[in-house]
This record gives sequence, C-alpha cells and structure tokens, in this order.
Amino acid sequence: MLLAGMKPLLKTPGGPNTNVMDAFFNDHEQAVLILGALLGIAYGAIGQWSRFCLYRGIEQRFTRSDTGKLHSFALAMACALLLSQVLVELTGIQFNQTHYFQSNPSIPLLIVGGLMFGIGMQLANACGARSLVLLGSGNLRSLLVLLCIGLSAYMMMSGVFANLRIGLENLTRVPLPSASVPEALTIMGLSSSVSRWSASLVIAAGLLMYASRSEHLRTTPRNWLGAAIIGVLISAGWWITGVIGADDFDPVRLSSLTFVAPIGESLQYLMLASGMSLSFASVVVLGVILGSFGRALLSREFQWQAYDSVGQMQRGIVGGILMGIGGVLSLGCTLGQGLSGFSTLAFTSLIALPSIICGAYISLRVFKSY
Amino acid sequence: MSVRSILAAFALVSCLPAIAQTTNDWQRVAPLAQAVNSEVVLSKGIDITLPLVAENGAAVPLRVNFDTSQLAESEFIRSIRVFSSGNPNAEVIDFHFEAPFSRIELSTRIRLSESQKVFVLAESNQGRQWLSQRDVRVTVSGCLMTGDDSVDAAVMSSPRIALPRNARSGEAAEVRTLINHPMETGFRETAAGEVIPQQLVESLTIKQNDQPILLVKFHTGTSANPFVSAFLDEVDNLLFRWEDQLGEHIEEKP
Repeated sequence: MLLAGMKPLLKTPGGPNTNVMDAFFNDHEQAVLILGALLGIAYGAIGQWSRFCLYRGIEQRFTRSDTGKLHSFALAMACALLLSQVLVELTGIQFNQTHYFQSNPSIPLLIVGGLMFGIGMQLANACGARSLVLLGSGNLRSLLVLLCIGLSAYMMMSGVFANLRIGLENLTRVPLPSASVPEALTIMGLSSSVSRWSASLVIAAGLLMYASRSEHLRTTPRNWLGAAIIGVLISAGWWITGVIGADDFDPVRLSSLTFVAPIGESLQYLMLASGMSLSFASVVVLGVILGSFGRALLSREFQWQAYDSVGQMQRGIVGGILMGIGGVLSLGCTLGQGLSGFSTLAFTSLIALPSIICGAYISLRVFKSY
Repeated sequence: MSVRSILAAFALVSCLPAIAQTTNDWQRVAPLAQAVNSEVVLSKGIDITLPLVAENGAAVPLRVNFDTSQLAESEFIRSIRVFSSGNPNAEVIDFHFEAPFSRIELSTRIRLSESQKVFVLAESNQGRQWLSQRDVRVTVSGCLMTGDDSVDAAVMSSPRIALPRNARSGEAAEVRTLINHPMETGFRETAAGEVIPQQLVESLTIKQNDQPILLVKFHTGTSANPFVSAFLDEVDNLLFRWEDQLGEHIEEKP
C-alpha cells in the first residue's frame, strides 16, 4: 500500500504530469514553492535545535576541544551523499544539470572564493545558513551580516563587479575531462552505476568513520540526529526541484539547500516583487528564518542580541561582504558546496569545500589573537 | 509671475520629454513603425507580463493578454506581433489568428540582448490597432560559470504538446507546445571566431479539422526550443506543424 503510494512520488523527470501532487497543488511551480518553504522551515527548526555549524566545528578543532560539531558536519555530508545517490538511482535525476557540474570551471577563482568565504565566516562568526537561523532566534548581528552577504553577492553576480568576474572566469578556466568523481571513474572504464556507488560508498564510509570517532557526537542526539536530518533535507531539496519540479515545458532548475545567492535573491524579491516571481531558493531562505523563529519561541530561547562593540560590527560587515563575494566565486557556501554540491560529488565542490575550511582556519590563526 | 505658475511651468517642462518619448519610442523601431498603419493606435487593452529584471536574456518568459471586451461585434484579433527596441533584429515573434479566438492569452520565451523595451502590436480584422510596451532590464547571466560554447545540431526534435488537464467544454483552455531546436540567430560566433550560420524554426501552424486556426512565426528574438502556449476554444482534432528554414517539417497530434 505504502509502496503503491510512493511510486508516483518517485516518477522520473519528464514523465507524464499526473501524480498525487496534483491533488494538492495547482501546478508543479506552486508545489515546489510550498514544499520549498516547508523544507526551509524544517532546516530552520533543526538548525536552531542542533546548532549545526561548520564554523563552530572548525573553531573547536582549532582550540582542540571536542564538542562534536565538525564530526556532525561530516555525518551530515555522509547522509546527504548516500541519500542523494539513492534518489538518483530511484528517480533518474541528473546532477549534471546543477551548476556544480562544470566542464571547464575556473579553479583559481573557486579556491580564492572559498578562502574568502572561509575568512568571512570566521570574521562574522557564522556562515550564511547559520546567520539565517540566528536571525530567527533574535540575533540582530546576523541581520547586518545577511544584508552584506546578499548585497555583495549580487554585486558580484549581476551588479557592478559582474563583468570583472566574467572576465576573470574566462581568463582562468581549466578544461576538465569530467565534472565529477563518478564521471571520472566512468571515463576510466567502469559502468556509470558502479562508479557512482563505489565513489559514494568509499567517501561516505570514510566520513562516517571520522564522525564516529567523536565521543561527544555519539552521546548527544542533538548533534548526531540533527546532522542526520540535515542530510535528509539536502536530498529532499533535490527531490523537490528534480522530481516535483520536473516539467516538459518549464522545469524548475535542479538545486537543493544553498544560501549565498538566494539571500541576495530574497532581498531582490522584497524590492522587485511586482516584476519577478518567487523562486524555490527564496522561499527556502524565508522558511529558514520562520522555522528558527518558531523553534526559538517554543523552546523559549528567543532573545534579542546586538553588537557590543564597534570592532565586532566591523568584523561582521567585512565578514558578510567576504562571504557574499567569495560565495559567488566558489559557487556556494558551506551548505551549498559543502553539503548540496558535495552530495553530487562534483569536482567544484571538492575544491571549494576544502578552500572554505582552509580560509576559516587561516583566519582563526591570524585574527584569533584578540 | 506667481510661484504657482512657475511651478506649473516647471512641471510642464519636466514632463515634456516624457510625453515626447512615449509617443516616439515605437517609431524608432523600424519594422514596428512599418507595421503600424492606422491613424489612431489604441494603447489600452494589451497586458504584457514580463519580469522587471531578467537574469537570463536568452529565455525571458513573456505573456500577452488582450482584453477581447474591447472588440466590436464581428470584430476579432487578426494578429499579435512582438517587437524589441534593442535586439539586432527587432522582430521577436508573430501570432496570426485565422479564426476568432474568444480568449487571447499567449505565452512564449523571448531573447533580449540587453535592457530594452518590448512592444506588442495587436490588429483586428477591421484594421484597428493596439500598441503596448514594457521595459525589461537584462543583467548578465545569474547562472554562474556556464562557459558553454557548444553548437547543437540545428535539427527539430521531440515536439511536445500538452492539452489542458481538466478542460471544461465551452471554456477556452490552455494548450502548450515546445519543440527542441537551438534557434541559431546567425549573430553567434564559435570560439575560433567563425560565424555560426542562421538556423531557425520558421513557423508553427495549429490546424483544427484541417483548417489552420493559428500561425506562429518565429524570428531571431524567439528563444531556443521555441515554446508557445495559447488558449483554444476547442481542443479536439488538432494538428501541430513546425517548419524550419531548410524546409523540413514535423507534424504532431496531441
């Protein structure tokens, strides 16, 4: 019975447009928006509850204290990777339609962008996704950081620095024989499903082994359960855009949770709503704030917070700008590249994520003396 | 001179360029100026839906509604033509109606090479004309790092037709169509600097009971994989026929 109900939900993209979703929604676009908002709310609530944060993990690694944060990020990566690959197997969605798959990416810009994002994340004390969660629980510092991220991301993407970015990209492109680990293995002679699963299982096993080494992670459900659910949410994002959003005429662009450009897009939507339509990415952003707000109210953790000093505010602004610019150059943030992009095993993600971590680490070394 | 009259004069002077501009804009688009042949062009009645800001100028969704309550008895819309002020070729897409349509609501995707105005000209069988315009700002691609210079084979393939899911009889219902084709404009160059020759799907004819009811002409301003949707009064016995520049054609029944 359950399986019979599942089948239309897992229809292959481009298939006949009749499924149980039709009973609830007018069309696939409305379905994507409503499910996207729910996805955002779920991420906001879980992120607020679990305090999921890559930057905290890196910081604790730096100060050599085990609070399981870095390990829980590894666990979320493994969950996102495995579930997303299962989704590919079941529905046939094509990750090569995502912007993480690039046949000739600008590798230098990916690295520079990742480093900038990492430094910005350290200066502002949280990445884009975490800032949205914090804003929902009353942290006004995050509001300023988010405004800086959104503004600088759009300056880089389509604003005053757009032509500079495109020029630099074209100068530094490196043609790759393949865009992801599974594609590379396929070129070496393995069949596509063997190469996908061998790569996914080996990488996921390594991440799980690393995650299980943390005593703190194993004993704190808040950490391991939170991370596992966030992994599920990443693959849910692929499902919403790739399966529910599939349409012969007007398919929704395949994407999952990602935050730098969407923060900018949400700001743009607030200003231009009469002339643009809402997208999956912006409803997710809105949902995260709402979800975190709701959970913070319920747990009585909502508390207004602001900057204590000029120096702290300056670091927030610079950090936000670096994250916006860096996030565009590296094609994503800690969530976008670190989890969503990573779950596709695209090379751009495998370059950007270590760069982000390096940037944060360097910044901790340089600036943590105060 | 009183303060009021100075202010009034100032207001008038500052408005003048605006008035002059709105009356002249369309005349600067040569193919549009040629197409306008009536003395009085009506401005109300056409509703253009376009995004204010388009991040991908290669496929900007366009929807045109015409308020048919403006039409006199036995008057019907003969054609709806779309022009752009800033594209290398001003013609974007033309719809010619061979029969009266009770609901005029058309959708397609168009190419806009830069920020510009989009004009829609409607003409009735009695020679009355309506003109409307919208500004669109086109930014560089929001899609990051898509250095895709590939040249697709200019062959029509996989035509798709979607009939309305729950059409009620007596009510016009939306029929959507799409065919795969790169719509090479002839303006594009390969990385080596060679001009890629123009290859377009020229037209889509929708026939009902072997009688043509709607003829859509595509130009360089129509996006790749030309998409057309229209509201038809009847959705039985339809035939869709696409023709390309080479004289090839594909026929498809829903």
